[in-house]
Amino acid sequence: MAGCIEGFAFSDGTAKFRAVNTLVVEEQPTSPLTTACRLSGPLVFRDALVSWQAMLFSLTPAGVYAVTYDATARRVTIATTNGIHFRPVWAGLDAELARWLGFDPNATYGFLTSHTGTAVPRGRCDLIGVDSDPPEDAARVDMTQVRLGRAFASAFGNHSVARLTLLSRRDKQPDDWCWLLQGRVRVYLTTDTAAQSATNLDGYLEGAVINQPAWDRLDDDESFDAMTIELAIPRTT
Amino acid sequence: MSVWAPTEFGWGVCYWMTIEGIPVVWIERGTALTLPDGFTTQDASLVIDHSSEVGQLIDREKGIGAGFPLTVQLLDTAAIRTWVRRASASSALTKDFLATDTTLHLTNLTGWPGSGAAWVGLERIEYSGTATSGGDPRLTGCTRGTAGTHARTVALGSMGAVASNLPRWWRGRQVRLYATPLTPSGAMTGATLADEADEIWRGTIDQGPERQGGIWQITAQALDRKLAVKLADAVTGRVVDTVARYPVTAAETLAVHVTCWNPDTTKLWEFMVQIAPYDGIPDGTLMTPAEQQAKIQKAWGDAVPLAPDLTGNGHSCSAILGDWTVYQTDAGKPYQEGFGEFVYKAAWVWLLGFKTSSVPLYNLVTIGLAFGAANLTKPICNVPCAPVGPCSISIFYSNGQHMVGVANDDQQILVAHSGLAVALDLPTSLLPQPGTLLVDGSPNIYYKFVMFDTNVAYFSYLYSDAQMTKPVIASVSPDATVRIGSTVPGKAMDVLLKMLESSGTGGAMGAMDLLAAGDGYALDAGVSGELSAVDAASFAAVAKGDLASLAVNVDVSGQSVEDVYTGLLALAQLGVMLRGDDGTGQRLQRIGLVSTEPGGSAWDVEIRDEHLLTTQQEPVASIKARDVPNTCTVTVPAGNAPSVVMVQDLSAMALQGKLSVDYTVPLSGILPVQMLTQWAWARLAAGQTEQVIELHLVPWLDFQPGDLVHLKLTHFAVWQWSTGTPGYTGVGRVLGNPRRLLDGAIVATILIDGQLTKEGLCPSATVTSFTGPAGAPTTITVEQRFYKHFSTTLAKQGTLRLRHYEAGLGNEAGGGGFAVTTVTDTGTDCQLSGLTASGGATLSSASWLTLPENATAGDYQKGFAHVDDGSIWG
Repeated sequence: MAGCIEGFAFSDGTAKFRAVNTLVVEEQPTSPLTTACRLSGPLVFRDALVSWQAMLFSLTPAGVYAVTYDATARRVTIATTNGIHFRPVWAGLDAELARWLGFDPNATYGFLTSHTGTAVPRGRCDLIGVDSDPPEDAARVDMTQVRLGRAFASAFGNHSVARLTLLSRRDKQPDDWCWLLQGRVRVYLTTDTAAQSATNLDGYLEGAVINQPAWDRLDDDESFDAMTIELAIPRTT
Repeated sequence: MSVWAPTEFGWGVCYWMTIEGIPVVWIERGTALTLPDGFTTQDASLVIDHSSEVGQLIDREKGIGAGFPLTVQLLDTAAIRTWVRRASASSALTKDFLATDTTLHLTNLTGWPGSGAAWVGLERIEYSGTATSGGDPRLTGCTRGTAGTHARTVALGSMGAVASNLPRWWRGRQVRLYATPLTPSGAMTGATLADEADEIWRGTIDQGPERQGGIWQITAQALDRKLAVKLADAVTGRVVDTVARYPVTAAETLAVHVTCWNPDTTKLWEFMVQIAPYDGIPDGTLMTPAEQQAKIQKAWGDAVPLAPDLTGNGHSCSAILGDWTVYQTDAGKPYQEGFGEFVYKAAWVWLLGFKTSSVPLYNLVTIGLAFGAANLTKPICNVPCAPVGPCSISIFYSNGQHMVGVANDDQQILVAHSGLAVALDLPTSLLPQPGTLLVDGSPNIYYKFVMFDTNVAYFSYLYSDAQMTKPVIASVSPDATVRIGSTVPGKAMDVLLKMLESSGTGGAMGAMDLLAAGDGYALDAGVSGELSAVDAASFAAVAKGDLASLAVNVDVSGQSVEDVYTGLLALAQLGVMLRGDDGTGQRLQRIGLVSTEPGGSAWDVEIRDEHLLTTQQEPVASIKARDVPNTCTVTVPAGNAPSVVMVQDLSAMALQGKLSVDYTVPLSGILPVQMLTQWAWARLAAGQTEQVIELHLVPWLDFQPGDLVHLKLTHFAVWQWSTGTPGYTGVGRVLGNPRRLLDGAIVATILIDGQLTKEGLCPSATVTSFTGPAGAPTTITVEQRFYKHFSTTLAKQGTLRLRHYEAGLGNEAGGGGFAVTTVTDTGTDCQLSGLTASGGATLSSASWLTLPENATAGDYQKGFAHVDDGSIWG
């Protein structure tokens, strides 16, 4: 089983920074009609789904919800398991969340027991393969980001650097997966869900994308991307 | 949480800027979000790529923040082109434009549309109509202070006394730079543009907009740099005379009601004489007492022949009262009462007396007096006239702003005030009131009131002391040179706040906006409900103890806050600076008071190796700490005889040579020598190895100048004196936090320990109340000020355990403790809940709670010193 790359949904748990952190569902015809679940902090894609599902349970709307991701179909599904009809609400900046989960924020959603995203979620990209060297010690690493069309660089000390080549099929990527390749990300090399360590070499790597030195299109029809990224992984002191 | 927090997760920020009085949001890219109040359009022309880092750095030897300037560019858009051009309508003012006026009088209305916007000085005004009736062209229905400006008084004679339909002045306009969060895919968050934005920088335009190649550039100075700018110079002039003058009004009338009684209580005669001595004289005309006397005498002489005998007995008023005269004492001496002690009474202006020799024997005379309807409405004296001989009755009165006296109450005689007329070298009506007269060759004279007549200023109510308790009669020579300054007495922090806020518009900028125009910096009071640019609460919170009550006497004329307060702030280890107020939603940049003391315990943010940036340089650098002197001199200016306190460490001088520092502290009243000496010795006792380091840090750390941070660094460029090893683990005081706009990186300047380690004493809270059983309470309430301490401890350590003890009840060693899971700020108190008692803790009215048990001590708790022996927890 190949790995994947997942981004983080940011939240400070308060009213600030609304986008990409609050899942809202509206049920029919119970009261209260809507339930809003705001993440309590930044969470990686899969943990965010689990957190939203847990909050939908603890906030006790009428429905019993499951928020899941199907790695084969590459879709997120929000469903009730007790027959309650509902619809997701993507209002204002929650449209960001819709795209992050692979839903269309502009679509009209009816009251159903299950809603599945129509696109690959922006928060995750399943990979055909990941080529990874063991992280190397780096007293100094550079990070490049793009902001409003301008590039800038800053750098970190006391990090390790891992160079990864991510191989993916273009038709299986999120439409704009470049957004997934900045800031803090987590790259699963395999199905192993523990962090990489000296005794767990196929575990995931988590850090800041500091460089994207190569991006190749493969095959005759350029249907594959081979993206090389450098990941700065903080060392604990 | 700041806008920088999510940058760790791929978020960004979008900068936008406002300029006071220009209703445009200058932004990096267009937005569909609602613009702030008063700003009607946006222009995606802002460029910050070439800006240097912005933020603050405090100079501990000056106690004043040195905010970094901001330079931004604006692309050459159609929007900016509409602003950087000559106004099509421009007219001079024909009347003073007071801050409360809603009509703007102009020389003409050529080019002015029927409604629109006008600029006068820095202010933007919206008007709803025009009018020319009466040969008085004017803009009517003015809404003052729009687009982030404030209503200000503009006097004729100023270069600003011109209205135009585009801004004429750019320099001095306030620039405010904000950052709004961007999600990883570039969406701006918040319901409005300002909703989730932080204010990044605030200052005033120093230069521009100027053409730089094909774009426009604006350079602005940080708001706290204003504090180094000198205030208005003192006005000078020459003494004309020392006669007091007082304003009169035509409406003032004097009514004298005189009745002569027979022994059988029937009336012999009765007259009512009413005069209006100042009839026909323009209100506010200044007159000397002699001039007033002449007017009253003349009016009396005219009125007496016309007064009928109200008894009907047909007596002639002229025959009886015709020889009454008016006399005065215009510069009487303070009344001397008992034991040779002067007692200063009310402030009488002068004395009006009547004398007669024609009152019949054995009769009584009742006199009623009223001078000005507002002053008296009933007879005020009932005087038994002398049983034999001539009668003399004195009536003490003053007019207008002064009190009216009682006729025969000679104990209230006091005519202690004189005046001083000064011909001004530069005519102005903007003199401070009250103020100080610095006369050549004479002690300072302090005055309460000043009035003007052409180019002469008339000062009244003169005192020899700044507190204005000792009236004085000016004794100066004509032609003596006078410097008219603003001396502001009061508590040190109050006077400082007055200098920050005062605009001359009487409270428009805040409660401390009390000084004359030019005597303060008129720092922004905030518009649309926004908080003031001055964080007055921080002054009260930081300046405690002796410093809070310290009295000063500051001559602000021609001086800056930096000139006046440097010594006091440096000695007290305080700093006045601009900082993001995290108590406000937008982290408004506000000028507040912070501590610059090394050491402490209650830190918020931890800085670790992984936060260091190495792109452009080594991430950690040591920079020079301030010198530690062995001689400290503190001068207290007091007129021509300054006081000096000097402390010297002679032994250190012998070993190290003389290293001296000098401070000037504008104290007044009784010189607190002991306090100054303590401060001076404390300056000498500063750690000689204390370190100041500069750290290059990631954007998402959140701290402000004056904050304490915890450092956990292994970098070789910093040294741990306590262990003699590279790296540093401990608390530091943030002295500066400039930030690069392009990438958000922070360049922090931090003061850390050297050989000496300074921890704060662990706070202890009295239990004010609790609910539930004493041995198993549901909630415990302590004072609100402990909220931050306890909530921070809980956040830092993940657990909060408090030791319980009962002071003075033989249980000082402690009676168990409580584990706390929730700390709540109720708005009035700090409430602890989720409690688990241990060790038999039982609350009582004498219960105290403090950080306690070593077993649970983390880095945060370990930073506090033990109250008993000064050792450290942990």
